Amino acid sequence: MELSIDRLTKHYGSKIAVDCVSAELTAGVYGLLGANGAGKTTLMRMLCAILESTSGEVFFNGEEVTGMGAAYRDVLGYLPQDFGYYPNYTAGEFLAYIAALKGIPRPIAQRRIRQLLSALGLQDAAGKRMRTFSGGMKQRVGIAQALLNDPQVLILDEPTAGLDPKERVHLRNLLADYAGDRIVILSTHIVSDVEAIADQVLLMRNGRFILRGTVPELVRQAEGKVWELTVPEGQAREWEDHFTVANFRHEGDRVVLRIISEGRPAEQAVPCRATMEDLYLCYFGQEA
Amino acid sequence: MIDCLRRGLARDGAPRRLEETVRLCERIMEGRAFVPAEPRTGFWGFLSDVFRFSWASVALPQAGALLLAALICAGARDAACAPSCSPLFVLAAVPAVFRGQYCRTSELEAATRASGPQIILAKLILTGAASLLCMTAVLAMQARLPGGLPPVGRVILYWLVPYLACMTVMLALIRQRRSDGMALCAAAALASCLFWRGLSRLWPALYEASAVGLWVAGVLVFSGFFAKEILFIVKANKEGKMYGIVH
Repeated sequence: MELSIDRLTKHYGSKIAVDCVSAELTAGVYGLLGANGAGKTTLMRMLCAILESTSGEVFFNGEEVTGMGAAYRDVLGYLPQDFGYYPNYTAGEFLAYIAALKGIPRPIAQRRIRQLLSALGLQDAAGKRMRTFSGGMKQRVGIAQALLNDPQVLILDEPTAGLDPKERVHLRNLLADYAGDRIVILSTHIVSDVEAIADQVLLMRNGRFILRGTVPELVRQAEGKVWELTVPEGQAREWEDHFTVANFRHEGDRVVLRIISEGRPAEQAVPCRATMEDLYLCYFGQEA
Repeated sequence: MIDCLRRGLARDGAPRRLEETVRLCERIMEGRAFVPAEPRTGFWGFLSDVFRFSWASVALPQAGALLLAALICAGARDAACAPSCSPLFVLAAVPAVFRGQYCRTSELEAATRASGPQIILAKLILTGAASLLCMTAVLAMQARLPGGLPPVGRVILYWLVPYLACMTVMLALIRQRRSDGMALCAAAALASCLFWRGLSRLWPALYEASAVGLWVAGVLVFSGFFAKEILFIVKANKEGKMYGIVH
């Protein structure tokens, strides 16, 4: 199984949202990381064939996805970033409706809805109207609808948005279990989510993939650029003006700064182990 | 040297194992072709499912339009007022057709097997059928008004022209992906209702047998535009393209 992105480009007037992106994706979890406006959502919409590209193509197992039509959408599960719902539907009804749109026969749909509601901890909420749901519950219903057709290609745009830490961990485990021989692409701002489950990370900026690799491979790129520096409390803000500061930690009347810098920021600064978040800040520190 | 190279390339330019390579590629592609692991419902199954989940948004506004048309006909002095109610049934289709847009589900729905164009087509079929039933009921009321019902052919023309014109406006607004499409469509349906009612009072000769040619021309023109919009949806569906608004 293979999803190929071939020089995919999207222009909105003079603005380039996605700029000649190419990649070969095989089974595994891919984390798409980038700041707001990096082009993640536009790319995901084109991967779902709901947005026409300006140029370039997407192939699933060698076939162009737009041409595949329903056959591609049969193997696709998608959770949009800002997904809507019908407020008068119960969670069960909403999932049954989406199952109908996915062409899943009713008996199979009913069985799968029960399984998914249970897997996502929503079995007690199945009969409740969605307008009464919390953000996290709605998001879980969104994830359930994406999984209804047991998709081979699962595309999740900000799936952990609105989830509390426990729900996030639960979802991460669910996706890691689910991935197996499927292609799972998820975009997020939450670096720890990508760190926890992504086999491959794609770092996106200005509509391009600027980095690609496994978490350890990428983290290695940030090694030697992360420093800890202890300064008096009053000077902390000054350091922040000149460097990307990943973290402040108070220790008595002093502050320990975690600084991202190509070179040693001060003589007393000590190098420390990099994390995925440090790498993110290396590339997006200024934008953040 | 260059001539020698040219001669060499010309001699060996054609691939020797083209057919064998094509056959090998075909075999590989057949092996990779997607075979659905489970059955999928057909169009009619899908249509009945859409009705099962959308009947309220399809039927209730149509019932409301029927009630309004009945009130208009009850207070009218001439039978020509009834056909001017037909845009009301397009107005009644707005909640069902634009439901995905105002509930922000269109992006989600577009990524399903049914896709955006097919969902709109299903809703048009369902609202069209409901409108037909309701308009038949209004016709029965028209028969009891002074002047009564003209011959069936003329009745169809009088009802069809405003209905098709309004439907065409609605589909054009969806095609143009206007974010204010729903409001514009509702306004167009109401304005159309008033326009046809005004016309029937200012120009009663329009509803006489001598004006049938004008109505036939109207049906032909608006049928053409309507068919063009429907073909656009069918084409978008075939080509797997998006139709309507994705937020």
